[in-house]
Amino acid sequence: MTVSPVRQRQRKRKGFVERTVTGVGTAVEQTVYSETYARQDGFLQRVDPRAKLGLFALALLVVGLVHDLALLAGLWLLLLGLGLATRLPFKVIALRTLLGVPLFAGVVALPALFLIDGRPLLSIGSLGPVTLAVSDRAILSVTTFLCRVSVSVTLAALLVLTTRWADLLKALRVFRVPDLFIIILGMTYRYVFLLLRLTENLFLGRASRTVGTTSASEQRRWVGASIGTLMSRSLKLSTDVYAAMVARGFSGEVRTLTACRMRDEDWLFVSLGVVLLGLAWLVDLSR
Amino acid sequence: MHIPDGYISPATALAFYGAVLPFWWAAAQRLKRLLSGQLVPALALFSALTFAIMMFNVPVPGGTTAHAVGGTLAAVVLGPWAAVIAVSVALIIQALFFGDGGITAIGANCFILGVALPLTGYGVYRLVSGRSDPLSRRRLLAAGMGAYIGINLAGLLVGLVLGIQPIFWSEDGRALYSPYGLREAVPALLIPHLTIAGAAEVIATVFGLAYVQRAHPELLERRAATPRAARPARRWTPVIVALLALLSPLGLLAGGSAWGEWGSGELAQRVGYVPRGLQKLESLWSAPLSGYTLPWMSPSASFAEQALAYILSAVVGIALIFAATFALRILLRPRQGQQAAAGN
Repeated sequence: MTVSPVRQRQRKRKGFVERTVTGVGTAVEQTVYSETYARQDGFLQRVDPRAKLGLFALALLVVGLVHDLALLAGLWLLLLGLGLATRLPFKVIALRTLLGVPLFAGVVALPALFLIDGRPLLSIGSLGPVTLAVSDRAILSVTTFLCRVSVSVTLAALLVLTTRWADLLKALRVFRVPDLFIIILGMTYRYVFLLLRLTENLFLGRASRTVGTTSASEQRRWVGASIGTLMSRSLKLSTDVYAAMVARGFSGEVRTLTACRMRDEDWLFVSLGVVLLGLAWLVDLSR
Repeated sequence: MHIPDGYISPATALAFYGAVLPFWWAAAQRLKRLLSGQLVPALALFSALTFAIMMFNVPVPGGTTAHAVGGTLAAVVLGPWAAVIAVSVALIIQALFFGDGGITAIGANCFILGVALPLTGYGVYRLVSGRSDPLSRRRLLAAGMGAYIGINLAGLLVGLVLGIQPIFWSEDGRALYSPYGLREAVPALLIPHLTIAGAAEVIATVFGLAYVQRAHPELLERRAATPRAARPARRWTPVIVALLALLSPLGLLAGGSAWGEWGSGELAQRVGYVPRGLQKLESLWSAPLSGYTLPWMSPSASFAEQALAYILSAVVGIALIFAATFALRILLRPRQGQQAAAGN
């Protein structure tokens, strides 16, 4: 198949502008949706964010430590059930965990099937001097890897999808994250969308202005100029934001409202979770 | 290039959290002095900016596109410590709110992309640019070289971190985490970084800096005018510590054990008897990385594997010391009510 140089260049140009616009759009859309789910009424959404964050962090640690495949698979099923019980649409869970993980981590792990030595189970053929064979250890390794990644990603997705970011930030404070970092995280999150919007406009503007083809060096210059523009705008914005903060009485000190209270249900959730995770870990150790 | 959850063992993840905390702390201290009250909005905007730069698709020679990190560019324009915080916050937001990169791996990702990349890139930039004019072409070359070396160092580090997983964390030949050894993981990460990702990073850095030189020279001149507190002794400490950690396997070449570090068995051989108190003490504590090898590593491991075990032991040890010191610092610091953290 031959592609004329002009066509090829056209496709190239379409590539980087459209990909960036799509990327920005997806990021914003995903966050808006996850905020919508986090605002719904559901089991996990009702749990105190501190309890949820602590328990999920512990769960991530236990999932990292567990060796047993059956246990990992069991934990995964439990989490999927939890996701459905908390009224997340099946499509969202499936997209984030069932489809996304095997597609990405699966592609990453596929070559390992042929690279890990062991008792050969399945011989596929030979490529010159190298014989392609799948060994028992390779299958075990790849399955363990995929299971662990799936459980971890499901855990992270459940946390992100059921917690509003403002609550998540509040929860970080309990874990002795300095206020300074929490405020910076919060403000960054706010301005990320503004700058993403600016980026999107820069790229959309270019797409609508450009007719015909442009040279590769022009594209590079333009990308550099957009990065530079974004830089100078955000620096200017930071001065403006600071001036606005000072005008509203900001003196360099960070004050926050902490209005979270753990209810009995939250303590119950934490205790049950810790017992369950501890049991899983003990069972794993005894195997 | 972010490491997702489940790719690295909890021990690796924790060691990286321990390694990255002192850098965050040092960066916060420096920036508090430099930016004073403006610290919060400035760092928030820098972080949001880094986040946005990471979304850029950069056209790379050969027709493909790739994402840039922009760590070196941020270090050159905003300063190295601001870049450390900005890239780290951008990565944390990606992990916590966008599900991009693992939550357990935040420490590793922030250390590699948020500390090693911008600091290395900036170091190379300073080395090559010397005392040249901030608006000269030499600065562009320096930034490009810094960006290329920085991103490749990051790629190499990710390769090494993933590659040691099956060496240290395997069970009867079954890899428990990322299944690729060093022989596969390092080239798999280095080759795209030497080519596509490296090119994207260089293009974003050089063309971005060229634009800032042309359109907003005041940003670069202001940075050049900022007084720098020169403390050579302290600046070299991390380099020396890292060198010592890398040299730690030297001991493998020498026979016997270090003077005065004999176990009771060896002591009996040398002295003829073992003090009873020592025998009792010895049974109290058995170190998790006893003999600086890992309990699950076979005694017949090759020299390279033993050397790696040594380096890892050294890194884990240093990280633990850092973490413990840091924890002590936090615990012993007097609480000044709710507003403790913000500088003025």
